[in-house]
Amino acid sequence: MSSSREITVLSGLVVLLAAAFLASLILGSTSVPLRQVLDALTGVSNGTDPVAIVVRTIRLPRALTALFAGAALGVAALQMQTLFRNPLADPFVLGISAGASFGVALVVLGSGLGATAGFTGALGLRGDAAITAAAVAGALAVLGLVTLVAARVGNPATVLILGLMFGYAVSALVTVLVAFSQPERLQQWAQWGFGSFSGVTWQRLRLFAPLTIVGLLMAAVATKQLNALLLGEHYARSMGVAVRPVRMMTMTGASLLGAVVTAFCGPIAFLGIAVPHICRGLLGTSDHRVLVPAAVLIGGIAALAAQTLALLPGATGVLPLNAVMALLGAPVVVVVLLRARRGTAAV
Amino acid sequence: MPRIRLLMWGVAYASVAVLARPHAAATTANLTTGCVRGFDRNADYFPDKARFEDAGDVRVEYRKSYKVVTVREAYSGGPAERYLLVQCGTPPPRDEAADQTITIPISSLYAASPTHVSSLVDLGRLEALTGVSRLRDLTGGEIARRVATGRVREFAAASVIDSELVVSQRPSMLMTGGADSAPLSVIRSAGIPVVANTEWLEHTALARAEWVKFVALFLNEERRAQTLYGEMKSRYRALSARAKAASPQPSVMTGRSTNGMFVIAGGRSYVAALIADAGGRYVWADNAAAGTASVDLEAQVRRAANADIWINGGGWSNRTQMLQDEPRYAAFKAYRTGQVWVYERRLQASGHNEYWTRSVTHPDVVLADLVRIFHPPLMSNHEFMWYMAVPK
Amino acid sequence: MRPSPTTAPALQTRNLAVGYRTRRARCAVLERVSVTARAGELVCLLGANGSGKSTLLRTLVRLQPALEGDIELGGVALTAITHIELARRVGVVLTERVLVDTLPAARIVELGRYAYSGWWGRLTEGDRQAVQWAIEAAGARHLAGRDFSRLSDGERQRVMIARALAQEPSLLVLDEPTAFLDVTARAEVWALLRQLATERRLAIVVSSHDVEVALAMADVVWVIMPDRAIAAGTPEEALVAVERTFRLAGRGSFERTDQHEKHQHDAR
Repeated sequence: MSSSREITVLSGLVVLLAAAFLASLILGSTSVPLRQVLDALTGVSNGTDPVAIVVRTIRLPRALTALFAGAALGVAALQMQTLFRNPLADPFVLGISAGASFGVALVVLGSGLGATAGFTGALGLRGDAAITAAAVAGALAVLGLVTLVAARVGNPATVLILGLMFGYAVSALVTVLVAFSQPERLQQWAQWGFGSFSGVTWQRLRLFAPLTIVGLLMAAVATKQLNALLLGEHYARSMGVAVRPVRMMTMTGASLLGAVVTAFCGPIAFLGIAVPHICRGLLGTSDHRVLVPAAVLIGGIAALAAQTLALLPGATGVLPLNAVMALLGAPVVVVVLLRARRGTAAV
Repeated sequence: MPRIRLLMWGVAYASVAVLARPHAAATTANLTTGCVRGFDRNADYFPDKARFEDAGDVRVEYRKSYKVVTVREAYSGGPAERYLLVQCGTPPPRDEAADQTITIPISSLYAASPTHVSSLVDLGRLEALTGVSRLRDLTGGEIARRVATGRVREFAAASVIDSELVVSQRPSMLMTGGADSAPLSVIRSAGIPVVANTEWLEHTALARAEWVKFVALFLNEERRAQTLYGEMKSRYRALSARAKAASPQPSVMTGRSTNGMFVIAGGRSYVAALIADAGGRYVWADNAAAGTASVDLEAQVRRAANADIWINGGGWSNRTQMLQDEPRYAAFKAYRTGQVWVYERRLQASGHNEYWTRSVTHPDVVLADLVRIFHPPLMSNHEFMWYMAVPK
Repeated sequence: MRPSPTTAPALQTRNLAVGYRTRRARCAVLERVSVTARAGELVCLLGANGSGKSTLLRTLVRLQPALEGDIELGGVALTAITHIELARRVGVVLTERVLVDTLPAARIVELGRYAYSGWWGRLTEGDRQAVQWAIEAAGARHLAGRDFSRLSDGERQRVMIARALAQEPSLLVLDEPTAFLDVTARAEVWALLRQLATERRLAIVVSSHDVEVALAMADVVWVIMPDRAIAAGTPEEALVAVERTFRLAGRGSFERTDQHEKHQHDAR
């Protein structure tokens, strides 16, 4: 039956993920031979060997970050697409990314305003730590607002539109900040906006990894509910699903995953939307028991691939991660959808 | 008889002297204010002429009563523009194609960039400034006093030019910072000349500084501009020669890292040129970018792990905080030896850095700072103007 | 066969009012509803379009709050039952079209074990057996391996009924399950429901337009009257009540006569 297909595909994906992980350690602004990579990983090579330092302090945390971020975004998007029964949903439809951007914009662009500098300064946070904290705070603020409203509104489609509206409003505030900012700061702001896995050092990974793992576990626990929700909210309720609480928890969990990734890596667009479609197309099922692990694997592979490609220009420059993701992902999604549709007659 | 002959010779001589020489009545120097009365077709109204030696993006040709100024790119990637600067009181030339015709000397200027204002200060013509993009970009001494008189309007507070304001105030001219935008065409069609100052596209610090002559062209202040620039350039050249002869030549890295990407000065940028002129070796000298470039942290580590000196980063309060931002900064020798230099000595609490306003027109001072960093024994008497070491 | 009177009926309502409540108004669609459905009974709910059939059914399965009155399932008040417990007692089939991509019909049926299965949706042997039984009972064995989205409407309804059966309910509630089906499929569904009631001792409440089939198959009929009450009784009693209040127009459908329109009376 189809379960053998599922097992085969999932196993293949695990292998592909391992390959992508190794590739991201080997390739970069210069290629490091596999032998040296393995030596660096296993601690065989000397501590001062510059190649080993590069692999251990730069490439390895970056690869792990891509893995976690990709998995987080893929699973979060899967949850949102099922919850809202909308194939274009991702963890940012509720304005989370806009909230995070606003927090960062306040810190990066608005530091001329004494208020924010004082605020983050008082917390003992400077620079990148302040940016991360601001991103989380902004995302949580918008999430809180949307949750408050969603608690009163029954209809998921309405919640979706409200989230979009909040997102637009907050984005508009960001644009105002940009308009009034010093030109020298705009470059740093633009850099953040490109998205990057390279900024997460081992130290920050110690926070990032557990947070994403918690989010992924929360999603795993909700697998049964998500499957029931495939039939719609009325049927789900009749089968015993506590729809309102499940909806709130799923929404919050998925948005939090999105918020964490945005806070540490900048706004990563597109990957979320694409992954569930690729999962469904490859695995040939809508069962979340299969889709959730698939989303973890495919999300990780996509993130690692985009990361590696973004560095291809090497010494002459770095491509923005978001651009590579979209350029890489859009054709893949199109191919997957067309192949799936060809099987279904006249849909 | 001999007295009459003497008188005739005298009259003849005087006639020749009067008739043969062009009317020099108004033309011992350029008219820095006011208009010509009584136009003489043969007079050269611009005895003080400017010549661009180092700036490659602008050219000027002199005719008797007007100047033809050509700017290579009105904005990055844009078309060339040709301006006719017609001396007030003289008729505009026919048969001369131009994008803009401006009557000079101008009396009021709307300047888009603080560097234009700096040029006005150097030329001693700050009273011509009647408008700037953003008031809070202007600080310091004379400029603050001029702003305090209330005669300087702000015309682009929110990054978009307020065309209504400009059109209603009718300045003699608006000087852009080399960027195009929709309101400019509105302003042009309202009859206000718009000229482009693209000093920032030049590749060397000297070339950028030479654009003070560009500003001077509109004010007929070529004499002062030539002197200023000439003196500055010889100081610059002299210092550079000494620095280049000094040894050892330290290796130099630039930039700062955001999210694992290092934004550095390109190998063909004016920063790279400054480094070379200050007797340093830029680790990215082979890079092709003329502005900034983005390189992977890893690539920077490979190139610059052993660089002696690190300049032009910024946004750090001390070296410990640098590590909190990005622990991998410790991989750079320049970091470990405390040789991290930033141009934040004159950074104000408001976030505005005077460096951006004044350093462009005074590359000799920037060079002096850099030589002091690269070759301390040469410059022991020089006090830092812009640069400071990031404290522990 | 009537069960002994001492067992609590599968479903019982007392003075139930159903409808909608907005912030300003209270709009009752049906009032003073006191009806009963017992194990082994096939109950058919008949009424004109918009008379409140769906509203009543949704209220009975707690998809909607009641305005007034009591509902009891197997003697226990509806308000006192948890979600999960409710799912183990009542299976629901609605009119709405279900759109699920790429899932085999068997998996859809398995979803019915939600109230029983483990946290990942793991099925025990007991669960699997219940699913098998449900598929057999619904006559859907030949559909189990096929892609749900590729089935015909009738086949899909069969699978949805199987899914409801997998909940091992004592009460089945179906809201116009034959609405989109052709004549043959309609007949099959009714035959299935009849069989489930008789052989499996389920209490079944079905709403329908199909007066003829309803009167032929049902044990009990609930008719929605113009005064927003329900008249319950055997099919014969219902027919009398219907003739008094409505006129039959065409074959097997209702039309209200309060607007004084006359129609052909087609006797059975």
